[in-house]
Amino acid sequence: MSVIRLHNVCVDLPVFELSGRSLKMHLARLGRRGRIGKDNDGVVIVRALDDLTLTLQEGDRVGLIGRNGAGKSTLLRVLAGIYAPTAGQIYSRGRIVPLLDIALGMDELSTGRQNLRLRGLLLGMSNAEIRRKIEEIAAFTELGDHLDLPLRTYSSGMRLRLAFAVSTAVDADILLLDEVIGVGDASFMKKAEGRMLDLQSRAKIVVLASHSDTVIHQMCNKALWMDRGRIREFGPMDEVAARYAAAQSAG
Amino acid sequence: MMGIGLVFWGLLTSIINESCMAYINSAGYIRQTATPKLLFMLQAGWRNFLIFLHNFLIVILLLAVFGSKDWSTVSLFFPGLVLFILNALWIGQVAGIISARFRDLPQIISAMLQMAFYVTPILFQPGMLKDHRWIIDYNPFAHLLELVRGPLVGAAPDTLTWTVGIVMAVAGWLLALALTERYLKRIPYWV
Repeated sequence: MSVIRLHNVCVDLPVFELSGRSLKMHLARLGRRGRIGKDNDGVVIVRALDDLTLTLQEGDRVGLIGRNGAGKSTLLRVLAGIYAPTAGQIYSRGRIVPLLDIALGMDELSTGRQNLRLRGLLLGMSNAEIRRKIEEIAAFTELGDHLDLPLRTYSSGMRLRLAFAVSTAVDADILLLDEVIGVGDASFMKKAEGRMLDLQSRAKIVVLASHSDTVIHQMCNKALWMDRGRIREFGPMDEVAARYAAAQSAG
Repeated sequence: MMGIGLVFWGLLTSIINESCMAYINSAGYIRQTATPKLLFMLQAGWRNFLIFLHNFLIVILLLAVFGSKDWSTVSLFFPGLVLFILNALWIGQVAGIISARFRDLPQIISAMLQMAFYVTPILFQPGMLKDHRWIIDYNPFAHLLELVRGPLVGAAPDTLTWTVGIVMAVAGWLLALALTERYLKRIPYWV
Protein backbone atom coordinates (compact mmCIF):
# COMPACT_ATOMS: atom_id res chain seq x y z
CA MET A 1 0.00 0.00 0.00
CA SER A 2 1.76 3.12 -1.19
CA VAL A 3 0.77 6.52 0.02
CA ILE A 4 2.18 10.00 0.45
CA ARG A 5 0.71 12.40 2.97
CA LEU A 6 1.74 16.02 3.34
CA HIS A 7 0.57 17.94 6.36
CA ASN A 8 0.99 21.73 6.45
CA VAL A 9 4.24 21.49 4.54
CA CYS A 10 6.19 24.70 4.01
CA VAL A 11 9.48 25.08 2.19
CA ASP A 12 11.57 28.22 2.58
CA LEU A 13 14.39 28.42 0.10
CA PRO A 14 17.32 30.60 1.08
CA VAL A 15 18.67 32.59 -1.83
CA PHE A 16 22.20 33.66 -1.14
CA GLU A 17 23.83 36.79 -2.38
CA LEU A 18 27.57 36.73 -2.64
CA SER A 19 28.07 38.26 0.80
CA GLY A 20 25.62 35.80 2.35
CA ARG A 21 28.03 33.02 1.39
CA SER A 22 30.96 34.47 3.28
CA LEU A 23 31.93 33.33 6.76
CA LYS A 24 34.22 36.34 7.06
CA MET A 25 31.39 38.82 6.46
CA HIS A 26 29.16 36.81 8.76
CA LEU A 27 31.61 37.00 11.64
CA ALA A 28 32.36 40.67 10.97
CA ARG A 29 28.66 41.42 11.23
CA LEU A 30 28.43 39.83 14.68
CA GLY A 31 30.54 42.68 16.04
CA ARG A 32 28.37 45.49 14.81
CA ARG A 33 24.95 43.94 15.17
CA GLY A 34 22.47 46.48 16.45
CA ARG A 35 24.50 49.54 15.55
CA ILE A 36 23.37 49.59 11.96
CA GLY A 37 19.66 49.12 12.21
CA LYS A 38 18.75 47.10 9.17
CA ASP A 39 21.75 45.14 8.14
CA ASN A 40 21.26 43.09 5.04
CA ASP A 41 22.80 39.73 5.82
CA GLY A 42 22.91 38.65 2.19
CA VAL A 43 20.25 35.97 2.49
CA VAL A 44 16.79 36.34 1.04
CA ILE A 45 14.22 33.77 2.05
CA VAL A 46 11.71 32.74 -0.57
CA ARG A 47 8.67 30.75 0.46
CA ALA A 48 8.48 28.18 -2.31
CA LEU A 49 5.74 26.02 -0.82
CA ASP A 50 3.20 27.48 1.52
CA ASP A 51 1.15 25.29 3.83
CA LEU A 52 0.47 22.29 1.62
CA THR A 53 -1.85 19.58 2.90
CA LEU A 54 -2.36 16.75 0.50
CA THR A 55 -2.82 12.99 0.30
CA LEU A 56 -1.85 10.89 -2.70
CA GLN A 57 -3.22 7.36 -2.81
CA GLU A 58 -2.67 4.26 -4.83
CA GLY A 59 -3.95 4.63 -8.38
CA ASP A 60 -3.45 8.37 -8.45
CA ARG A 61 -1.93 9.74 -11.63
CA VAL A 62 -1.39 13.34 -10.70
CA GLY A 63 -0.53 16.05 -13.18
CA LEU A 64 1.12 19.12 -11.67
CA ILE A 65 0.09 22.26 -13.48
CA GLY A 66 0.79 25.89 -12.86
CA ARG A 67 2.90 28.71 -14.17
CA ASN A 68 6.68 28.86 -14.04
CA GLY A 69 7.85 29.35 -10.50
CA ALA A 70 4.62 28.12 -8.97
CA GLY A 71 6.49 25.48 -6.97
CA LYS A 72 6.00 22.38 -9.12
CA SER A 73 9.62 21.29 -9.13
CA THR A 74 10.05 22.15 -5.47
CA LEU A 75 7.04 20.00 -4.63
CA LEU A 76 8.55 17.11 -6.59
CA ARG A 77 11.77 17.51 -4.63
CA VAL A 78 9.89 17.45 -1.35
CA LEU A 79 8.02 14.32 -2.42
CA ALA A 80 11.34 12.74 -3.40
CA GLY A 81 12.79 13.43 0.03
CA ILE A 82 15.46 15.78 -1.30
CA TYR A 83 14.21 18.87 0.48
CA ALA A 84 13.16 18.22 4.05
CA PRO A 85 10.21 20.57 4.68
CA THR A 86 11.09 23.59 6.82
CA ALA A 87 7.75 23.21 8.56
CA GLY A 88 5.08 20.53 8.57
CA GLN A 89 5.32 16.78 8.14
CA ILE A 90 5.59 14.40 5.26
CA TYR A 91 4.73 10.73 5.52
CA SER A 92 5.32 8.27 2.72
CA ARG A 93 5.29 4.55 2.18
CA GLY A 94 6.63 2.76 -0.88
CA ARG A 95 9.73 3.04 -2.99
CA ILE A 96 9.96 6.53 -4.39
CA VAL A 97 11.94 7.06 -7.57
CA PRO A 98 12.46 10.58 -8.85
CA LEU A 99 13.32 10.84 -12.54
CA LEU A 100 14.12 14.54 -12.50
CA ASP A 101 17.38 14.37 -14.40
CA ILE A 102 17.73 11.03 -16.15
CA ALA A 103 21.35 11.54 -17.14
CA LEU A 104 22.53 12.08 -13.56
CA GLY A 105 25.50 10.01 -12.51
CA MET A 106 26.76 9.15 -15.97
CA ASP A 107 30.51 8.96 -16.16
CA GLU A 108 32.31 10.05 -19.32
CA LEU A 109 35.17 7.60 -19.09
CA SER A 110 33.19 4.47 -18.25
CA THR A 111 31.69 2.26 -20.91
CA GLY A 112 27.99 2.17 -21.70
CA ARG A 113 27.53 -1.01 -19.71
CA GLN A 114 29.35 0.37 -16.67
CA ASN A 115 27.17 3.44 -16.88
CA LEU A 116 24.05 1.31 -16.93
CA ARG A 117 25.15 -0.23 -13.66
CA LEU A 118 26.18 3.12 -12.16
CA ARG A 119 22.90 4.75 -13.04
CA GLY A 120 20.98 1.70 -11.83
CA LEU A 121 22.66 1.83 -8.43
CA LEU A 122 21.87 5.52 -8.17
CA LEU A 123 18.22 4.78 -8.89
CA GLY A 124 18.24 2.44 -5.93
CA MET A 125 18.43 -0.91 -7.75
CA SER A 126 20.34 -3.70 -6.10
CA ASN A 127 23.24 -5.45 -7.80
CA ALA A 128 21.12 -8.55 -8.36
CA GLU A 129 18.32 -6.50 -9.85
CA ILE A 130 20.74 -4.85 -12.26
CA ARG A 131 22.22 -8.17 -13.33
CA ARG A 132 18.73 -9.47 -13.98
CA LYS A 133 17.70 -6.50 -16.07
CA ILE A 134 20.87 -5.45 -17.83
CA GLU A 135 20.42 -7.56 -20.95
CA GLU A 136 16.90 -6.30 -21.44
CA ILE A 137 18.07 -2.71 -20.95
CA ALA A 138 21.00 -3.17 -23.31
CA ALA A 139 18.71 -4.60 -25.97
CA PHE A 140 16.32 -1.70 -25.63
CA THR A 141 19.04 0.90 -26.23
CA GLU A 142 19.79 -0.68 -29.65
CA LEU A 143 23.35 0.50 -29.18
CA GLY A 144 24.86 -2.94 -29.80
CA ASP A 145 28.64 -3.01 -29.64
CA HIS A 146 28.78 0.67 -28.75
CA LEU A 147 27.85 -0.35 -25.21
CA ASP A 148 31.43 -1.47 -24.67
CA LEU A 149 32.85 1.90 -25.68
CA PRO A 150 33.32 4.76 -23.24
CA LEU A 151 30.52 7.27 -22.93
CA ARG A 152 32.62 10.14 -24.26
CA THR A 153 32.43 8.62 -27.74
CA TYR A 154 28.61 8.75 -27.72
CA SER A 155 26.48 11.29 -29.51
CA SER A 156 23.92 13.14 -27.42
CA GLY A 157 21.14 11.02 -28.89
CA MET A 158 22.94 7.82 -27.86
CA ARG A 159 23.48 9.17 -24.36
CA LEU A 160 19.79 9.90 -24.03
CA ARG A 161 18.87 6.42 -25.19
CA LEU A 162 21.17 4.91 -22.60
CA ALA A 163 19.91 7.12 -19.79
CA PHE A 164 16.30 6.60 -20.81
CA ALA A 165 16.59 2.83 -21.10
CA VAL A 166 18.03 2.34 -17.64
CA SER A 167 15.93 4.98 -15.92
CA THR A 168 12.72 3.46 -17.19
CA ALA A 169 13.73 -0.06 -16.12
CA VAL A 170 13.29 0.82 -12.48
CA ASP A 171 10.41 -0.61 -10.46
CA ALA A 172 8.90 2.24 -8.51
CA ASP A 173 5.91 2.36 -6.21
CA ILE A 174 5.86 6.10 -6.48
CA LEU A 175 7.21 7.69 -9.63
CA LEU A 176 8.06 11.39 -9.88
CA LEU A 177 8.57 12.94 -13.30
CA ASP A 178 9.56 16.46 -14.29
CA GLU A 179 8.39 17.02 -17.85
CA VAL A 180 8.17 14.01 -20.10
CA ILE A 181 11.39 12.76 -21.44
CA GLY A 182 11.79 13.20 -25.17
CA VAL A 183 14.32 10.94 -26.82
CA GLY A 184 16.02 10.37 -30.11
CA ASP A 185 14.68 9.87 -33.59
CA ALA A 186 11.09 9.18 -34.60
CA SER A 187 11.23 5.38 -34.51
CA PHE A 188 12.86 5.32 -31.09
CA MET A 189 10.39 7.93 -29.88
CA LYS A 190 7.52 5.55 -30.54
CA LYS A 191 9.24 2.73 -28.71
CA ALA A 192 10.07 5.08 -25.84
CA GLU A 193 6.48 6.15 -25.48
CA GLY A 194 5.36 2.57 -25.05
CA ARG A 195 8.05 1.97 -22.48
CA MET A 196 7.11 5.11 -20.61
CA LEU A 197 3.49 4.00 -20.40
CA ASP A 198 4.60 0.60 -19.21
CA LEU A 199 6.75 2.18 -16.51
CA GLN A 200 3.84 4.30 -15.35
CA SER A 201 1.44 1.39 -15.26
CA ARG A 202 3.83 -0.52 -12.98
CA ALA A 203 3.98 2.39 -10.55
CA LYS A 204 1.21 2.77 -8.01
CA ILE A 205 1.38 6.53 -7.79
CA VAL A 206 2.68 8.83 -10.52
CA VAL A 207 3.29 12.54 -10.13
CA LEU A 208 4.11 14.37 -13.33
CA ALA A 209 4.93 18.05 -13.76
CA SER A 210 4.29 19.25 -17.27
CA HIS A 211 3.36 22.27 -19.32
CA SER A 212 1.90 20.15 -22.08
CA ASP A 213 -1.86 19.77 -21.95
CA THR A 214 -1.88 16.72 -24.19
CA VAL A 215 0.54 14.83 -21.97
CA ILE A 216 -1.44 15.58 -18.85
CA HIS A 217 -4.68 14.58 -20.53
CA GLN A 218 -3.15 11.33 -21.75
CA MET A 219 -1.49 10.21 -18.59
CA CYS A 220 -3.25 11.65 -15.59
CA ASN A 221 -6.54 11.16 -13.83
CA LYS A 222 -6.06 13.95 -11.32
CA ALA A 223 -4.61 17.41 -11.55
CA LEU A 224 -2.97 19.59 -8.94
CA TRP A 225 -2.99 23.27 -9.78
CA MET A 226 -0.19 25.15 -8.06
CA ASP A 227 -0.18 28.91 -7.76
CA ARG A 228 2.59 30.85 -6.01
CA GLY A 229 3.50 27.99 -3.73
CA ARG A 230 -0.04 27.15 -2.74
CA ILE A 231 -2.53 24.57 -3.92
CA ARG A 232 -5.12 26.38 -6.01
CA GLU A 233 -7.12 23.27 -6.78
CA PHE A 234 -6.75 19.52 -6.51
CA GLY A 235 -9.28 17.16 -8.06
CA PRO A 236 -10.32 15.20 -11.13
CA MET A 237 -8.17 16.09 -14.09
CA ASP A 238 -10.86 17.29 -16.50
CA GLU A 239 -12.44 19.81 -14.16
CA VAL A 240 -9.22 21.29 -12.80
CA ALA A 241 -7.54 21.45 -16.19
CA ALA A 242 -10.55 23.17 -17.70
CA ARG A 243 -10.62 25.84 -15.03
CA TYR A 244 -6.85 26.25 -15.28
CA ALA A 245 -7.12 26.75 -19.05
CA ALA A 246 -9.90 29.28 -18.51
CA ALA A 247 -7.82 31.20 -15.99
CA GLN A 248 -4.84 31.18 -18.34
CA SER A 249 -6.78 32.61 -21.26
CA ALA A 250 -8.37 35.22 -19.00
CA GLY A 251 -4.84 36.28 -18.13
CA MET B 1 62.05 11.36 9.00
CA MET B 2 61.11 14.40 6.94
CA GLY B 3 59.92 12.27 4.04
CA ILE B 4 57.70 10.18 6.32
CA GLY B 5 56.21 13.28 7.91
CA LEU B 6 55.40 14.78 4.53
CA VAL B 7 53.53 11.67 3.38
CA PHE B 8 51.26 11.72 6.44
CA TRP B 9 50.82 15.47 6.34
CA GLY B 10 49.73 15.12 2.72
CA LEU B 11 47.10 12.55 3.72
CA LEU B 12 45.74 14.78 6.49
CA THR B 13 45.54 17.97 4.47
CA SER B 14 44.14 16.38 1.32
CA ILE B 15 41.35 14.68 3.29
CA ILE B 16 40.46 17.96 5.01
CA ASN B 17 40.73 20.11 1.90
CA GLU B 18 38.74 17.76 -0.29
CA SER B 19 36.10 17.21 2.39
CA CYS B 20 35.45 20.94 2.27
CA MET B 21 34.41 20.54 -1.34
CA ALA B 22 32.67 17.17 -0.90
CA TYR B 23 29.12 18.49 -0.58
CA ILE B 24 29.63 21.48 -2.87
CA ASN B 25 30.97 19.36 -5.73
CA SER B 26 28.23 16.77 -5.34
CA ALA B 27 25.49 19.38 -5.62
CA GLY B 28 24.18 17.69 -8.77
CA TYR B 29 23.54 14.45 -6.94
CA ILE B 30 22.28 16.03 -3.75
CA ARG B 31 19.70 18.16 -5.56
CA GLN B 32 18.40 15.41 -7.82
CA THR B 33 18.01 12.33 -5.62
CA ALA B 34 17.71 11.51 -1.97
CA THR B 35 21.16 10.11 -1.22
CA PRO B 36 22.83 9.26 2.07
CA LYS B 37 24.99 12.33 2.40
CA LEU B 38 27.79 10.80 4.45
CA LEU B 39 28.65 8.94 1.26
CA PHE B 40 30.22 12.04 -0.28
CA MET B 41 32.43 12.55 2.74
CA LEU B 42 33.56 8.94 2.82
CA GLN B 43 34.25 9.20 -0.90
CA ALA B 44 36.77 11.96 -0.21
CA GLY B 45 38.28 9.95 2.64
CA TRP B 46 38.56 6.74 0.66
CA ARG B 47 40.00 8.41 -2.44
CA ASN B 48 42.74 10.03 -0.41
CA PHE B 49 43.44 6.87 1.53
CA LEU B 50 44.09 5.06 -1.75
CA ILE B 51 46.41 7.84 -2.87
CA PHE B 52 48.13 7.59 0.49
CA LEU B 53 48.72 3.85 0.01
CA HIS B 54 50.61 4.69 -3.16
CA ASN B 55 52.65 7.34 -1.39
CA PHE B 56 53.32 4.89 1.40
CA LEU B 57 55.78 3.15 -0.92
CA ILE B 58 58.08 6.11 -0.25
CA VAL B 59 57.90 5.39 3.48
CA ILE B 60 58.70 1.71 2.95
CA LEU B 61 61.61 2.65 0.70
CA LEU B 62 62.97 5.14 3.23
CA LEU B 63 62.72 2.60 6.04
CA ALA B 64 64.36 -0.06 3.89
CA VAL B 65 67.31 2.20 3.10
CA PHE B 66 67.82 4.03 6.38
CA GLY B 67 66.27 1.54 8.79
CA SER B 68 64.56 2.30 12.05
CA LYS B 69 66.10 2.88 15.45
CA ASP B 70 63.82 0.30 16.99
CA TRP B 71 61.66 -2.07 14.95
CA SER B 72 59.64 -3.26 17.95
CA THR B 73 57.42 -0.17 17.91
CA VAL B 74 56.17 -0.72 14.35
CA SER B 75 53.05 -2.59 15.50
CA LEU B 76 51.90 0.61 17.26
CA PHE B 77 51.68 2.21 13.83
CA PHE B 78 48.34 0.58 13.04
CA PRO B 79 46.28 1.90 15.97
CA GLY B 80 48.06 5.20 15.40
CA LEU B 81 46.98 5.29 11.77
CA VAL B 82 43.38 4.48 12.69
CA LEU B 83 43.30 7.35 15.18
CA PHE B 84 44.98 9.64 12.66
CA ILE B 85 42.39 8.94 9.98
CA LEU B 86 39.45 9.14 12.41
CA ASN B 87 40.64 12.60 13.32
CA ALA B 88 41.09 13.65 9.71
CA LEU B 89 37.55 12.47 8.91
CA TRP B 90 35.78 14.37 11.65
CA ILE B 91 37.62 17.56 10.79
CA GLY B 92 36.57 16.94 7.19
CA GLN B 93 32.93 16.36 8.10
CA VAL B 94 32.75 19.54 10.19
CA ALA B 95 34.51 21.55 7.50
CA GLY B 96 32.37 20.04 4.76
CA ILE B 97 29.06 20.95 6.37
CA ILE B 98 30.09 24.50 7.19
CA SER B 99 31.68 24.91 3.74
CA ALA B 100 28.37 24.08 2.09
CA ARG B 101 26.93 27.15 3.78
CA PHE B 102 29.91 29.48 3.80
CA ARG B 103 31.85 29.28 0.57
CA ASP B 104 34.96 31.10 1.78
CA LEU B 105 35.72 28.44 4.39
CA PRO B 106 37.69 26.11 2.06
CA GLN B 107 40.15 28.94 1.33
CA ILE B 108 40.36 29.88 5.01
CA ILE B 109 41.05 26.29 5.96
CA SER B 110 43.72 25.69 3.35
CA ALA B 111 45.47 28.89 4.46
CA MET B 112 45.33 27.78 8.09
CA LEU B 113 46.64 24.32 7.23
CA GLN B 114 49.54 25.97 5.44
CA MET B 115 50.34 27.87 8.65
CA ALA B 116 49.94 24.73 10.73
CA PHE B 117 52.46 23.07 8.45
CA TYR B 118 55.15 25.50 9.56
CA VAL B 119 54.57 25.07 13.28
CA THR B 120 54.41 21.29 13.09
CA PRO B 121 57.70 19.41 13.22
CA ILE B 122 57.76 18.10 9.67
CA LEU B 123 60.62 20.02 8.11
CA PHE B 124 62.45 20.47 11.42
CA GLN B 125 63.30 18.36 14.46
CA PRO B 126 61.40 19.04 17.68
CA GLY B 127 64.74 19.45 19.47
CA MET B 128 65.67 22.47 17.36
CA LEU B 129 63.09 24.62 19.13
CA LYS B 130 64.91 24.71 22.52
CA ASP B 131 62.95 27.26 24.61
CA HIS B 132 59.91 27.18 22.37
CA ARG B 133 58.92 23.56 22.74
CA TRP B 134 55.45 24.70 23.80
CA ILE B 135 54.74 25.31 20.11
CA ILE B 136 54.77 21.55 19.66
CA ASP B 137 53.29 20.59 23.00
CA TYR B 138 50.18 22.68 22.35
CA ASN B 139 49.91 21.78 18.68
CA PRO B 140 47.36 19.01 18.16
CA PHE B 141 48.68 18.35 14.66
CA ALA B 142 52.12 17.60 16.08
CA HIS B 143 50.59 14.96 18.33
CA LEU B 144 48.58 13.47 15.50
CA LEU B 145 51.66 13.24 13.33
CA GLU B 146 53.66 11.67 16.12
CA LEU B 147 51.03 8.90 16.41
CA VAL B 148 51.94 7.58 12.97
CA ARG B 149 55.51 8.73 12.46
CA GLY B 150 56.85 7.85 15.89
CA PRO B 151 56.19 4.10 15.71
CA LEU B 152 57.79 3.88 12.28
CA VAL B 153 61.05 5.56 13.26
CA GLY B 154 61.34 3.67 16.54
CA ALA B 155 59.99 6.22 18.99
CA ALA B 156 56.84 4.99 20.73
CA PRO B 157 54.42 7.91 21.22
CA ASP B 158 54.11 8.89 24.89
CA THR B 159 50.92 8.76 26.91
CA LEU B 160 50.14 12.43 26.36
CA THR B 161 50.20 11.95 22.61
CA TRP B 162 47.87 8.92 22.77
CA THR B 163 45.54 10.82 25.08
CA VAL B 164 45.43 13.84 22.79
CA GLY B 165 44.72 11.61 19.81
CA ILE B 166 41.93 9.68 21.52
CA VAL B 167 40.29 12.68 23.18
CA MET B 168 40.37 14.62 19.92
CA ALA B 169 38.82 11.74 17.99
CA VAL B 170 36.00 11.22 20.51
CA ALA B 171 35.22 14.88 21.14
CA GLY B 172 35.62 15.71 17.47
CA TRP B 173 33.26 13.01 16.31
CA LEU B 174 30.69 14.06 18.91
CA LEU B 175 30.90 17.59 17.54
CA ALA B 176 30.73 16.34 13.96
CA LEU B 177 27.70 14.15 14.67
CA ALA B 178 25.92 16.94 16.53
CA LEU B 179 26.48 19.28 13.57
CA THR B 180 25.38 16.56 11.17
CA GLU B 181 22.22 15.91 13.17
CA ARG B 182 21.36 19.59 13.13
CA TYR B 183 22.32 20.60 9.60
CA LEU B 184 22.23 17.51 7.37
CA LYS B 185 18.72 18.33 6.18
CA ARG B 186 19.76 21.85 5.30
CA ILE B 187 22.52 20.74 2.93
CA PRO B 188 20.24 20.39 -0.16
CA TYR B 189 19.10 23.96 0.46
CA TRP B 190 22.69 25.21 0.62
CA VAL B 191 24.50 23.52 -2.23
